[in-house]
Order: sequence, then C-alpha cells, then structure tokens
Amino acid sequence: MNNQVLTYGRVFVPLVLHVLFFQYAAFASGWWFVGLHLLGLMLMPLQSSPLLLLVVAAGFGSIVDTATLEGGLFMSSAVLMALATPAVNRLLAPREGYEVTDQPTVSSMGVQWFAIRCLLLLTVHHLWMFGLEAGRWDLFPRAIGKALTSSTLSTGAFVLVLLLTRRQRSAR
Amino acid sequence: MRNLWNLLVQYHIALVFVIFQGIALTWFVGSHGYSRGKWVQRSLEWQGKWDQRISQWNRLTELDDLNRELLAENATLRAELHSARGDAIHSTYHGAEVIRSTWNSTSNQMVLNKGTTHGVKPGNGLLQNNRVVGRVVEASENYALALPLINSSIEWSVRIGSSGPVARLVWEGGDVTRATVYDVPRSAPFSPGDSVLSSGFQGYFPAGLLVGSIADEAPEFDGQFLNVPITLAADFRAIRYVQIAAPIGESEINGLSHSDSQQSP
Repeated sequence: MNNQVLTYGRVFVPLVLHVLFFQYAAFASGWWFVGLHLLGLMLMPLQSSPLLLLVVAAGFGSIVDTATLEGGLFMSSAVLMALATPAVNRLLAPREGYEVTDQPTVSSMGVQWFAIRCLLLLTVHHLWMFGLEAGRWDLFPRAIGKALTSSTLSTGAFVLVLLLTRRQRSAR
Repeated sequence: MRNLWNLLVQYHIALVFVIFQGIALTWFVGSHGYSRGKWVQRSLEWQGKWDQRISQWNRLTELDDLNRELLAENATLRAELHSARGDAIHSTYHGAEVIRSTWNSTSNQMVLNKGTTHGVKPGNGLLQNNRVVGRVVEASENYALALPLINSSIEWSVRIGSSGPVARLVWEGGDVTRATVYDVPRSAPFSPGDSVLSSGFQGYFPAGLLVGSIADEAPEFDGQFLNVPITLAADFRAIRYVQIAAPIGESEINGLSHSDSQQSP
C-alpha cells in the first residue's frame, strides 16, 4: 500500500508543482524549458500498459494546457512521448528483462539508464512541442536547437532532483 | 464485423493515440489568435486568481499602491487628451496589471487583472505609456487574456509615419525587440528612426499611437513591395502595467459595416 502511494505520489507531485509554481520555468530566453510534469510521466511504473501511459499523458498534458492557456500543445507532445515510452523501455531493457520490482528511477536503475531514457523521451517531447509551437518552416532550425538544449539541461536537472531526493530518503 | 473488431483490438494503441492527437491538435489550432470560448474563460478565471496571488507575494516589497494610482491617473489623462484632440474614435481607458506574461515562445500571451466586470471586452487594445502592446482576445469576469505584438499568429495594421502608407506588421519569432512591416510600397519615403504608428483601421486602438521605429537595416525587396525591419517601442520583457483602450462607438461602426456587407451584391 505504502509502495503504491509512493509510486503514484512520484507521478502526481511533479504535475502539481508544475501547474502551481513552475508553469513558466523557462530560462535562457526560452532555450531551456523545464517541463516538470514530464518527470512525473517518466516515473510511471515500467509495467504500465501503453494504453494507461497514453491516457495519463493526455490527462497531464490537458491539465497543463488548461493552466497555461496553451490549447493542446502540451497534450499533443505528452501523448507522443507516451507512445514512444514502451519502445524506449524495450530499447534500454537489460538482457534478462525488467524485474517486477524495478522502478524507472535513478536509485533502482542507475544514473546512466535513467539519464539516457530521460534524454530520449524528452527529445521526442521537445522536438514535437517546439516544432509545433514554431509553426513556420523558417523557425524550425531554432526549434530543434531549443529542443536539444532543453532536453539535455532538463535531463541533468531531473537526474539531480532524483539523486537529491534519494539521498534525503536514505539519510533518514 | 468480427474482423473489424479484431483489427480495432489489435491496433487500439494507435487508434487511441490518433484520437488524442486529433483532440489536442484541433484544440491547438482552434485556440491561436482567436477568442477561445467558455472553457478557457473558466480556466482564465481560476488561473488568474492564482497568478494574482503569486504576483501579490512578489510585490510585497514594491511601491505597488503608488503604481496603481499613477496608472489610474494616466488612464484618465489619456482619455482627456484624446477627447481634446478630437480623435475620430474616442476610447475609454482602464488601467490594468499584467499578472502573467510570456515572451520566449512564438505564441506569447498575457493575462490581465481586469475582466468583463471592469468593461474589458475581446478586441480592446493594450497600451504601455502610449505605445501599442497588443489586444484582448478573451475576457472572463475578472481577468482578460491578451495577445501581444510578439505573437506570430496575428498581424497588425500600421502606418509608416503620420501620413505614410498603411502596411501590415508581423512578428516572426525570436527577438522580442524586432518585427517586420510587410507590403510597404517601394515608392514610400522613409529612413531609419522614422516612427511606425497604429493605423486605427483594425479598431483596437486610436490611430497615431507609437508601435516602433524603422530599424537601421536594409529592407528586403519583395517584388513591388518592401519588407521593412522595425524596432518595437514597447519593452515586452518589462511590462507590468498597461492601459486597456476600449473604443467608444465600436458597436455602431460594426453595425454599419454589417449592414453594408448585407446590402452589397
């Protein structure tokens, strides 16, 4: 019971924090967008069905869209990221497959596994989001630059967040 | 029928994905640059309250009351000025605070702390110290959503100088201090530093308000016309207070243009 609360707490807390405090967490003139709700989506259990991932991603995206008045931008990008998640999980699976107890976190799968997965998924999300938001072909090179910069920096930030929260837990 | 069902079961993930994408993209396309309906008004009301609260926390140490008084005074003086000048369309002005603003995407927006109860309506113009900022596209009871000049999905009607040609202004993304005026006739006389003013044709603002100035860059030739880069007058990164211009007689003018379009063959 406690494990389940922890698992889904990890998923929903980033969304709540994003909607309440980090909606416009964009730095370096918009070159680094911090989509904290995406961390929640990436912490969905590895055993989640693709359908559940799509539904949760659509829900998360539409909540962020409603809060930021962006109208579908985040929903569309989050759904695409959810579609890519099972494929990325398979790509990075250990030779003997995932254990039932494996969690998509730094403490369970290691920094390298989490960072690569995070980078791949964020790149998918951000390429679609910045591309859609650019809306014109001449702005695409800039959108690609923003997507790659944001993905890289957010991956670093998310790894750091998970490392820090892991340390706090083990200290207790 | 059974085969169709099997097919749906087999490809249900792709189907759900397409449905969600369809909903999201329809929502996205339908909400850029236009009024957005009841749902967005509710969201705006809720989000506005939250942003207002955050904004109040941020403001604790600032000279907020003084700013508000100056804002109200500016709005009154501006209305008197336009009245004294005898502008073709008089506007009423309300002071408002920008409680949320973005400037780093291509579809930037602002949320203001005034809504329909304060007389704000979609189509009202936004000014910052007599400089054109944008226009309101949606209003709930207490808050309004506005699109600034730095939103690439809308075009603005401007005039080069006080008696020059009318052309269309478009912000193309990227630098929030720059925009381009399209369709300027090649014969039009202008030089770097000349003012670019509102034409007043769109009805959002009175004519003659400062939009920007011609940048010191070579214009781009486009057949019979020039595309002229300009420097925007409003500082979008620092906007905190704005005046909302509501044209008086707007409904009468709209009525005229409606009856005209109905009578025309």
